[in-house]
Amino acid sequence: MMRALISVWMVCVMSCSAVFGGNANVVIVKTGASKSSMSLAGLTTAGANAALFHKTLGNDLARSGYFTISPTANGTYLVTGSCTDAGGKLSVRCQVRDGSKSYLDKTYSEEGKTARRLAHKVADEILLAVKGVKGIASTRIVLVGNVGGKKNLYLCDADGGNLVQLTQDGAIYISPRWSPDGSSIIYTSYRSGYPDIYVMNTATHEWRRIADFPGLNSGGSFSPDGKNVAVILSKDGNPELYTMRANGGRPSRLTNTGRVAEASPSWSPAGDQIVYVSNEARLPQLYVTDLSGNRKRLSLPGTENVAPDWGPAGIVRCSRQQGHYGIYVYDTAKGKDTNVIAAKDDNLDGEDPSWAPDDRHIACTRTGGHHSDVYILDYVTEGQGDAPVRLTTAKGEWYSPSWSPK
Amino acid sequence: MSNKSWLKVAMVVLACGCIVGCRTRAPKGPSEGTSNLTPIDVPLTENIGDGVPVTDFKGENVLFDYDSFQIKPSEVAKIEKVAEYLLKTNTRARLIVEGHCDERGSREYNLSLGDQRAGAIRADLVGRGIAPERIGVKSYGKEKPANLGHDEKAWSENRRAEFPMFN
Repeated sequence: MMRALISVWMVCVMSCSAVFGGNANVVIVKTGASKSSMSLAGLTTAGANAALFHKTLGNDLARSGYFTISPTANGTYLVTGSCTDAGGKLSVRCQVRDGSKSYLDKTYSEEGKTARRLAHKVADEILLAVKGVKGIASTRIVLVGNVGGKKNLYLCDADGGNLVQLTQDGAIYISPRWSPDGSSIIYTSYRSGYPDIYVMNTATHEWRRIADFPGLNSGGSFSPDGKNVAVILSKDGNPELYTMRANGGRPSRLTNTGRVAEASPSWSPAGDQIVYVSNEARLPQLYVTDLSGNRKRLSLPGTENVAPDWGPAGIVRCSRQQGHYGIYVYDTAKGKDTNVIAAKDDNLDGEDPSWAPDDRHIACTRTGGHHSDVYILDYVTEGQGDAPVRLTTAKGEWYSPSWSPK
Repeated sequence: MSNKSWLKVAMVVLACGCIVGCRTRAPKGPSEGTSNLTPIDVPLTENIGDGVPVTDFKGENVLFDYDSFQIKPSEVAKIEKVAEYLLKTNTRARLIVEGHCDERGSREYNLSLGDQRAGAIRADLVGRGIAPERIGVKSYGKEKPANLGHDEKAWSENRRAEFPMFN
């Protein structure tokens, strides 16, 4: 009965936001919520890597949220051409048109083993050509894996493929987040024995410790210009929010809350505010501060509100409601929640949300039966038939995803 | 600057008050009621590095309520034993107060909560007269559960502070 009521309420919320909304993120709702059919039946393949390319391309286009992939040769948009895998070389000719117009006609040639990356690239080019929208197929997700009790950083494509291990020492890694230019990730590790903050270059895998003050160093999060980081330090006797230069240096303290702990900072897209968690009101709730330390609590439903990620479409967070953790989006302009993202009907707890650079998809951890995997959600179509997509399938626990900025 | 001086004065007053309090307290036996020492923020000077582990004493894990860093009356005697060891038996040993949480809730928030738990005990110990530079804190959040179960019993054992000591 309760479930049914929640479902009805969710449908109402979705409909209302689609009808009455007027700001930028609702425009996304309007364009994205209706999907166009697309057929890839006219794209022929020869060879194993060509088949992999075809399959990956179709999955990427479906996952963009803008298309339903037609099982037949019929569709509003037709992808035609050929894909040949010969002598380790993958040659692709790809044309996209509808009844009246050609959107794309391009040839590609790559090493066969990079079939999946090439498919991601072509999927993003098709989405841009057809819908004028920047896609996420070529983006990556950094995450933490606990495999056999060893917690390390991993990196995968936005569809969960190409999973690679970034660290090997298992020294407990926590909460990786990308720099805004996508060149590095910031994270907490115990490799010194204590929780310190590190930055790793994702191309060279070189890492550097940027904060090792006594006590806790955690929550590292880059400002939108990449020059500063927000961090949580307990060097003054209690966890507090600070900012410092991204290459290290003297931290400047933003909160002054004796006997109260801060956590999980995330910068506003303009870089002038930071949302963070504090247990000032005993249970953890979200607060927003400017860079002078003027703060206010966000009035939110839920006994706990944690793990915020602030993007152009709002602050996505994990909220504990009716005993379950779920993913919610708070519209800062309207001052209220616009969407309940996590499907509540499967009893999985949703945590650690991270916006994709399309401001539409969200990666998160979903936990059920004491097992965690990383999923992606579509902020626009969730609740309209699109189920969360599970990204991680390897043995182990997978959590704390952060979506690359490009 | 003057704020800092006031803080130092306040800390000394608190610490002195505590020492007096400790002297009048019976050396052993359970305490009743809440700790009257208000933990305050005691800045950390440096992390306590590893050394030779203390083997002639093992502090009992101090347990906490859900989402709380308050020292419960039931746990005060455990902290008193740690203080007694550091003040009387081994006056050179250094202590890391490890703060831990149960598996529920955000990883990052639990790191801060674990630090808060360790910090509250450290402040209490400083209030009992132990030099702040002998006590470090390390939060593991929910990363190192003592009990790998997923029930109330496991959770209650995992919301804890541990007391590794080094000579």
